[in-house]
Amino acid sequence: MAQSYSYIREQCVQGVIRASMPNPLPLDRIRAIFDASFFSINSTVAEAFAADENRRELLRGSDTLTFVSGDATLPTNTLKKFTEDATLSIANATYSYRRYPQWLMGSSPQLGLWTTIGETIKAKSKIPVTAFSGSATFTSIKSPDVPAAEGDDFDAPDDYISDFIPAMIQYILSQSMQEAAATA
Amino acid sequence: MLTSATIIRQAYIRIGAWQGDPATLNAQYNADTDFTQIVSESFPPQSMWDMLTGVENEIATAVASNQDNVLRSVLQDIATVTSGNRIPSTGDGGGDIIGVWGQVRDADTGIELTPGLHEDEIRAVVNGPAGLFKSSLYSYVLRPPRIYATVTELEIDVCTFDVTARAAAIAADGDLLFQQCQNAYFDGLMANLKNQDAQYTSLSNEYTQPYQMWLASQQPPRDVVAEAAA
Repeated sequence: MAQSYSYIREQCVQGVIRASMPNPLPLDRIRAIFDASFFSINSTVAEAFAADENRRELLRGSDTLTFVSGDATLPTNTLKKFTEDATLSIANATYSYRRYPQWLMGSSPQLGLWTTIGETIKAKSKIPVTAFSGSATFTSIKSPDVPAAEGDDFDAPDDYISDFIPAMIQYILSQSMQEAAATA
Repeated sequence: MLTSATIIRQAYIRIGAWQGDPATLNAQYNADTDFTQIVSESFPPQSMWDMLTGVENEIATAVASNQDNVLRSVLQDIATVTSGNRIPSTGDGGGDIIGVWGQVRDADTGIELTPGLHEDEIRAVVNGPAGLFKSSLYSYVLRPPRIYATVTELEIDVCTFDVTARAAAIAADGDLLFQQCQNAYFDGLMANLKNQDAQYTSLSNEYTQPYQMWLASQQPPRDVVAEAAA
């Protein structure tokens, strides 16, 4: 069951307050740290979650990409560490596309090829090779989307949220301990 | 109602300044709110009104300096400010702010603001990248002479005292602000009746201690546990 951003945040807030008693962190500071670190903690937890092969598929998601002259932009929340688990499919194509990291050397008489270079996905047809242009579905292991507003749902698997909350609490507490040490 | 004349005529009685026919003195005592029957070179009526205004100001400041004092309701006002404005010195009603503030709230929602964030954090929240801070944050910080907050409009619970208005009300035998504090007013006024006459000063000194004790009693009770721990 999806939980809203604010619902998850308040679970973290309560965890941090309980853990920092008898001198609890100010509520707004906890919330501000939560907001500012959500993206990075989400990525960290997603990588650890996906490292478990039994749970990795729970993070699989699809994006529709538009290729121009063989290039498209890699979705921002695709976990690059698991690019080998990604697939590229093109509707109405008469042949498949497979990932081929040795990009410059590669070409195939039967398959189209794709790879990632930095933040770019490159795709080319089978022989005779042409740079692919058009729409394609890219399916990859992704960190869950960061909600746009605090009332929006955090669309993540239940198992993921139960990993995310303690990781976030630990992070916020570590931040406050650094702050306390710096001011001691 | 407790008016300025109630206090001042008692003081004039104490210093023997009331002139008149003893048979009709009680009626005069009750009716003469302008003190036309008073003969006092040392403390003419205007000086009494002035001193009583000062006493009420002292009482108000003592009350306003304790955030938990229930008498603050007599002095309560709101000061509405925009984040980044100067720290207000007057309430919305025009009176001068005295004592300590009560709550600080978001003027739009009424949600309480707390001094939970550092000024740099507030700046980051207010001026940070759009969409990064999704949470509704309610903090303010004082960076004299200005106040900054995570919300735009703030309203502050304050206590105010309008010296000009109170002086006019007291001179016109108006109601005193603290209706339940008659003896505090009287002790305060008597404590001011000092001049070069040793008899006046001696009489006045008798009232100084109870007045000062009353003022002190308006402060929060001592937290002996915290003091011992410190």
